[in-house]
Amino acid sequence: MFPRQMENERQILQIEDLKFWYPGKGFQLEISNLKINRGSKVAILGKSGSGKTTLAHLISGILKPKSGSIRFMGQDITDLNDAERRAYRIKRIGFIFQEFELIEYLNVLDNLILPYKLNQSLSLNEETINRAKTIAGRIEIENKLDKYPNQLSGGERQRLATARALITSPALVIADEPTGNLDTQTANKVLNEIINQSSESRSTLLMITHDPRLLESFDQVIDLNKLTNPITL
Amino acid sequence: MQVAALAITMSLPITANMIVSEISDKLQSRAKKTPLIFGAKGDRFDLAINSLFFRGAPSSQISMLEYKRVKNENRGSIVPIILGFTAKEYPVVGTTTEYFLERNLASKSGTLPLVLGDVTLGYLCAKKLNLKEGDHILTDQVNLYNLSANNPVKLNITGILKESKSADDETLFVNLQTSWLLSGIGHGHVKIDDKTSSESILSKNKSSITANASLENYIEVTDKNINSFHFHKEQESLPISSLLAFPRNIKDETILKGNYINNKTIQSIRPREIVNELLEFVFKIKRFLNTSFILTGIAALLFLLALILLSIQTRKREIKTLFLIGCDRKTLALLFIGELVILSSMALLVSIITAYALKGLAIGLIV
Repeated sequence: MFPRQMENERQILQIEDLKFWYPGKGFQLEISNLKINRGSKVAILGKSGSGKTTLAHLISGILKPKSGSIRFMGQDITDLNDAERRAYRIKRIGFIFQEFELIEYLNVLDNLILPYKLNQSLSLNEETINRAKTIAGRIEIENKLDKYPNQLSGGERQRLATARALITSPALVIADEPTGNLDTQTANKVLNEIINQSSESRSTLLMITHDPRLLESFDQVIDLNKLTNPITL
Repeated sequence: MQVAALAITMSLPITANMIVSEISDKLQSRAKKTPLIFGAKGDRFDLAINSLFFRGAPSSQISMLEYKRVKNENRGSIVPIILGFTAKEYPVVGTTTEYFLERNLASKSGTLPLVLGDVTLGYLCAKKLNLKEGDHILTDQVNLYNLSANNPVKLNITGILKESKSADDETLFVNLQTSWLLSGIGHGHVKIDDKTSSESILSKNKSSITANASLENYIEVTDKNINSFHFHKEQESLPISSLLAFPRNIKDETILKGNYINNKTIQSIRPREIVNELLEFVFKIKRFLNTSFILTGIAALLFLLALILLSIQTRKREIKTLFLIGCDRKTLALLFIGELVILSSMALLVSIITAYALKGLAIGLIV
């Protein structure tokens, strides 16, 4: 095997010459070259408004770059149409949100299998339900499947939100500031939980954060504050 | 709360339309089954409504003589009715057995009111007052503050009618003699003769004895005292509130009505014409209400729209989450539409239940 081919297979994501801006907002994100390895834990660091969430949305196919390419597992997602990008997002990406964003009127089990309920391309069958129950057991909420999110503790809510992101076994998990408003001790606990669950699922973790105290736990850090002009990390 | 607000908005037009429809049906159905009504000259609306639904009594009365005249024309069944009395606030109607035949009313138990002092209860009267055959019911005092008015009479319940889903269900039926007894024209008391105690005698001469107020009047007709009851009027001058006429055919109906067009004391009316006139007025109000309900409907739609926009605004994060998880715009729209349909269906269901409850109350008060 040639070294370049080996390198390509090792990488889950490769961004080249990416340019994106919101019309009329005076903001531009430029990344000349960015590579992320499979199974790695990557932090995207940056101040508010530096483009962290924009980058996450570009990687997940919600936004389309003005130019450049985003290759995910060898495929340029900028070539995909809306439906294909949605399919890519459903199958390849898992999301963890800052406030967990559990659906309050659904019980724990329904929250866990929500991606299956919302997407016809994912088949919701007995095997899926059983897998959800196994995951619930692993994160110690198996006896609360019929409870509602407001009946869970903060830790249980966070574990459920992480498990929901991983239920489809995505190749990449994007966590958007899940430790945003937490103290250092709790933030570390949450981070460890996300890292553990991601590792168990063999998913690559891309975590958006503005908290430099957590960076020790990551294999790679992308500091958007330093991306003044196209830089390679 | 959203459901309640929508339900209230929707229940008003539904209730109004149901009430109008129910009143119209009830009025027309009863009117169609009563081809002609005869009564004293006066307000024809009063005559029709009182004679059909027993609410109150016509201000003027006709006599048994006029009843016999109409009857002697031999153009169908003529049924006299006497109104104006109540027992436990239910109307007590004096009539003959022909009434029950014409209205297809049959006894559920016991007999029709054949004897003086007998009363047959309508189905709902018996049910609501929890009375049965063999029980008694006291008529209401006509005027509580008039000491000279006739006393209440204790009536013997001899039968209960089957349910007819008409005004008859909430009526007490007696025979004509009992009605005259209730009106004070007839009464019964101990026999006055030479053996009567002097304490009860006001004056006495060779030809007559006049009793004073201490003489006890019977307030209940029993087997023992029934023969002591008598009427202080000639048979032909005894009062009748109105006559319900059931001619054999259209020809008889036309002739019968025509014969009384120029009568100076009696008027003949076709209840269905009177009811239609009344309903014309009701429908005018309904049309006005419908116009206002269209405006209410527009307001409700705007309210619903505001509700949707508010819901989208307050659930922005939820929508974003669902979108990021992979929900497409079509599914998201369907989720919201589904929620709206469920919300509207629940509101509609609640409004229909509310409308039925309100209708029940309103119909009871109106008809």
